Amino acid sequence: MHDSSDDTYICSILFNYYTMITIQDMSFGYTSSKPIFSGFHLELGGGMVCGLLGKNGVGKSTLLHLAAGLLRPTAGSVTYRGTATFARRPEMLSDVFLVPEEFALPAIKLESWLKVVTPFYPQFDNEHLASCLDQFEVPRGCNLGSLSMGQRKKAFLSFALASGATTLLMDEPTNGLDIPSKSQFRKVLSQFMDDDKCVIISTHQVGDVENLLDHVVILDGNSVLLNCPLADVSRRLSFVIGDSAPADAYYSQPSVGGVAAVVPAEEGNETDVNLELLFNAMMSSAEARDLFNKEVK
Amino acid sequence: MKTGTFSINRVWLILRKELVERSKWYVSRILGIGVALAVVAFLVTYAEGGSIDNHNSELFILTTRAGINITLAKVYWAFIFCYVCYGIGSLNSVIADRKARASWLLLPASTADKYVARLVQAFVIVPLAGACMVGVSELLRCAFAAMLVDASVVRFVSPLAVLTMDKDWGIGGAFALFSVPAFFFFGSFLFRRGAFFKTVLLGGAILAAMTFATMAFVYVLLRIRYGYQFHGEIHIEGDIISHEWDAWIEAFCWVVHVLVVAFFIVWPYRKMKRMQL
Repeated sequence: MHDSSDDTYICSILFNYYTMITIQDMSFGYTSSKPIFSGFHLELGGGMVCGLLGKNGVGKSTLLHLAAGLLRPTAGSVTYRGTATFARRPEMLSDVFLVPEEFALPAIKLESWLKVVTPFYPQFDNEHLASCLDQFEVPRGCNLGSLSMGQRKKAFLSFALASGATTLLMDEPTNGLDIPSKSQFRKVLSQFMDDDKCVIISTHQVGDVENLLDHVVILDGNSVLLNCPLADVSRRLSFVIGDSAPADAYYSQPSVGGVAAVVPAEEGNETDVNLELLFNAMMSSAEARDLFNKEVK
Repeated sequence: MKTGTFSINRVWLILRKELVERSKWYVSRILGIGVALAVVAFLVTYAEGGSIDNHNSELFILTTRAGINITLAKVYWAFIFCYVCYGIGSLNSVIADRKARASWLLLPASTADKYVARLVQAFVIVPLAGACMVGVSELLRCAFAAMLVDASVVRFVSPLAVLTMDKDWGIGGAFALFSVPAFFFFGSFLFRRGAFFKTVLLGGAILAAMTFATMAFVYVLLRIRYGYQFHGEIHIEGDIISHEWDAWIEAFCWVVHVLVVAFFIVWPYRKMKRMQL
């Protein structure tokens, strides 16, 4: 026998267990006169592939850098499993892997580089690396200095996925990848996922990751417009294309087949989430935002 | 892998990683500078040996013997010292750009590990690289000299001969010698780009300021005690400061010196802890 308080307690334990990145009352700015974040809150947990969306300059990459411990908040805290990320403890650094948009790789053989870097990652999986490199068609004996930008990105992504890190932070991961590589990327990332893993992808190329995401965070200025599982979005909103915009549309825009619109969902009629439409609807419609207000942290 | 704030194993892994990643850079630099230094060394040997045409002069042969060619030993010593200062001053140039900096900061090792690795690089690996350059130079110089004169009389010249030549180095001299690289270690963390040259400028500015302050202090001291006018003549009888103070002054200088060098060495750790992208 148990009562509802037991459930609440168990839920809070599970929530704390699965909450990996906690940002509380955080402020940050590159100059004191222009803060990017002020009193910012966000919590992200395990078992999710989260898309981080926002306009240029809104602070998506900065947020990833703060979560990885590369930047120190001027106020508040950014913690990973309860430890401040800026402390950059070795166990945190081996459990959170940041794939920046641009990264440095030495001009040496991939095998030589792996020999000196993998000891830093206790959970590194060589078989997984070999599998990723095969799928991306990157030869293991290659010299990193002679690879093209896309090949280097694929080698680095393979390393990130094999590192054994529980949390992957990716900044524009599909930039520089050709069309076949983008689908390979989706494939290897879906193989990587399990209930414990957390992947946060900051991107403008929503089409590249649309079918991969199960959670979305939309940032605007200093606030989180939306922080919600996509399943919940599709329960509340429908994405339709018609000859004209429906009267109750939160947002509409011209489309190839007529007019694409975001409308309130009818019960039992869930549609696939169109991230571009969702983003535009959240940016322009207060009513659409109000639908999720209770969910936004 | 062991977790926690410090692990000697991780320090070794960092050093190994940086050596492997920059092995080509180290080898090309050692060979390139070694060859250039060999040319200088050969010219110095000839200059010491007399006429450049007189390959078999007694002086030339003598100056190629171990420990005898003091001029060359001094050149090597000065080179190693300058190279160590440059190498330490440029220690963080590899992480001056954003991408390399991010990669280095995100390497799963604690700040203490990375700091100790930097210390080892500064005070062991950089001097060793300088010594290797001198080694390459000496090999080439001796090989060339052996072709010109009787090979049996050709000997390596060691920069350490400078230390044995002057027995009055003492702890003070060695410590003073250490304080300059320590200052460049400090400078490499103080400045993000062009750290070596900026450190040289900073050192020059500090030296100028200290010289000016010392002159001002002496002037004020002379003026108070002897009524010295700037353009006037002065006649001093006895000591300006009593010799009773010598021990205290020496102790004071030591304490200040030790504290300053400790600051140069320890401050980078604090800086490293707060280092951001």
